[in-house]
Amino acid sequence: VGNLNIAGLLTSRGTSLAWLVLALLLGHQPQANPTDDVRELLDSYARGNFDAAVHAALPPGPRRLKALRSELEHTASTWIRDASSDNVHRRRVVVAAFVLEVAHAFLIDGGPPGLSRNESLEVRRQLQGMIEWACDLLRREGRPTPLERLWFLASLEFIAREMGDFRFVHGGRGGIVNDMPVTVPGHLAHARRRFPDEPRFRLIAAERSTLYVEGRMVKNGRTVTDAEYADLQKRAAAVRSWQRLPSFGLPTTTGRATARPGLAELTAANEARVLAGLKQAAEELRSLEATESLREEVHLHLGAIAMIFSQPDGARRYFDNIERSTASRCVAYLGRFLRGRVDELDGRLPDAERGYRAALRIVPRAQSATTALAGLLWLNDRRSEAIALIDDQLSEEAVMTDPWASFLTGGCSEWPTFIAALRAGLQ
Amino acid sequence: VKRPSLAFLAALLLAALPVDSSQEQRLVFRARADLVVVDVSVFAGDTPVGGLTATDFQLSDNGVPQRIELVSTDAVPADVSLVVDTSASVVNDTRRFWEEVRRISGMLRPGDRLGVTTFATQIRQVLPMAPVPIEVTSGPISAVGHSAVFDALVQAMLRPGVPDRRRLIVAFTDGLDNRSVSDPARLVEVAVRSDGLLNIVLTAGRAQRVLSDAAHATGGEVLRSTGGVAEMSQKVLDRLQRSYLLQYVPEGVPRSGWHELRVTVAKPGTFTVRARRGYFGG
Repeated sequence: VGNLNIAGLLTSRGTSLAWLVLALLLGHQPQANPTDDVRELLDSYARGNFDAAVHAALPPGPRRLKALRSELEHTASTWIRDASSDNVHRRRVVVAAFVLEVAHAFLIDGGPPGLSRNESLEVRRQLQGMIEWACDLLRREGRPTPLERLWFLASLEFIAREMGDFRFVHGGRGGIVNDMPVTVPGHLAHARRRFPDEPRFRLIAAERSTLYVEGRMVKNGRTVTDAEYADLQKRAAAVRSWQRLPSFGLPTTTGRATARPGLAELTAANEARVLAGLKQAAEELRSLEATESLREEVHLHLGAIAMIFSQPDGARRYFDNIERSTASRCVAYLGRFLRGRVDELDGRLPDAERGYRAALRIVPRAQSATTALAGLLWLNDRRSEAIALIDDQLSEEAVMTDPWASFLTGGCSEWPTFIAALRAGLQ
Repeated sequence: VKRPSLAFLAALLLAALPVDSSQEQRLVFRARADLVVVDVSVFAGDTPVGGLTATDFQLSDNGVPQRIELVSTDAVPADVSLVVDTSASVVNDTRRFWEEVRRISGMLRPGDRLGVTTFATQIRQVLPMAPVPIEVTSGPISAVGHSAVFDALVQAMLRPGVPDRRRLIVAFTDGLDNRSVSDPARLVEVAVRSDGLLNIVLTAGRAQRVLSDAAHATGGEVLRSTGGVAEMSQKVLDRLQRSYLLQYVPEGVPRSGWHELRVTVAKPGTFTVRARRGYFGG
């Protein structure tokens, strides 16, 4: 690259070739004016050409994503200001929705394949910045509106359920920049300030305590009896007493009272804290059972929590409620899959097999039920059936995201529902 | 309960490797339904011990000593399954990944077969088991998502061996699992009964007990990565070149049920012997 004579090319007949070389070196495709392009895309999206506008905006790779973000932020403010006063709110929502859809399409619906780990992290950072910018655009307005509510609902489904970005949803330390710890403001807090009574935001808030914990404990078959729970709380109280001592954090002296708790006690204290969080979440979840639109999801969590606290019959009741009524494929799958899991832990193997098979009828070739069922069959000397299941799973690409992955990051995504409602509201 | 046939057990064999001179007196592998074949590695400290003969080994099946023969690994072709964690720092360059697969294909002998599975959130069979040399076309290897380490290993170990072929699984992972439905107990349970010889190359972090338990249960081991996928695969194959294949027809024990195996070296010195813990008789 260093040996190319760009100036020479520019002054020769090869001018257009030089521009092409320059554009390639800079990672840009030749284009007339990025600002005009963005305005056209926003106009097109506002006219209802949603898919076309989003796909036309998709950057070809992670490097162009940063440039797109910059162009959007620069152009959208002018585009909103140019609107008549009664159209400003709608244009703000259009911009926010457009940003959200581009981010979703880039990350979930494809994006450039073969990203390295560092590139993936950088993409997430850029997308997070874009969404937070759009969120700020809406929060500047006076009274919250129904369209804004739909935008927050869609954005949280995307961030919490599909990106699984716990820190972005709930806030927290976001690493070190210029030797100072950075705290990321949680997107959920923004949503709840604008819509404090929205039940779905309360559900996502309750999932802060269940996130990863349910999945990990259900997966590991870790169950806790009442007696074990009481013992863990007692040990946690002892650790807390030690932490309140004046000598906490200082080198220990010879006194017994300041003896440092061992690793086993610290681990027990941590588990006690996590389990107490689950109990607290269960209280909040029970208060949401009356909300019709959330009932099945609430029952998934309550069933998992019952399973963890050694109440298999209670867990089965919750999961069976889901079997009867839900419209969501993801929730229906998880209800049956977790029913299989609780039966397996409970030693009811034929019931477990029925649960896993019922899950696979809803989402054929799902990796979670396939692996669980294949393992169960194989260990019971039904090898050929087990292997046929795995062969079937690997024979094609999965038809949809495995709901178990959604469960680990909170729950089933309702992104399609909310983004469709938002689009309809913008028409 | 129907027990698996002993013929399955005849599949646990190696060989993608040239035979060293000390193994030349070994018998040719003979596939028989009642034959049990056991893959054995012997170490003095960390150093593989070569040059042992059949009389240097003692093997008991459910506590009953057996008459064993040493089999030439040269006679047994290998099915090599690469299981690669693409969620970790194992693979951060798709093009390089496929180049490494081509190199591994080149390390194997005519008659051997190679298959490749990758996993992050999703387990994908990117190259079905096929004879080498393989025609590898490049394809996307996503490096994002969670990591289903245990599920990927369970799925790899569930696959049956083919009679008269040794089945070798080489897994590359940092061992951090946050996506599987299989728990540690399931992983080890499956390993104990698997026909495959599991070797895990740990690319980062500390070796978890469950991973070494699973690998040891199959007669394999956990190695710490010091190079790329191809380089470490070569290292695994080199180590296995110095392993032994013992075969015997069980005598004095009922055929069905669980057979606990115990293999020792009857020579002066301190040896570590790695072999599968047992098998289910049909």
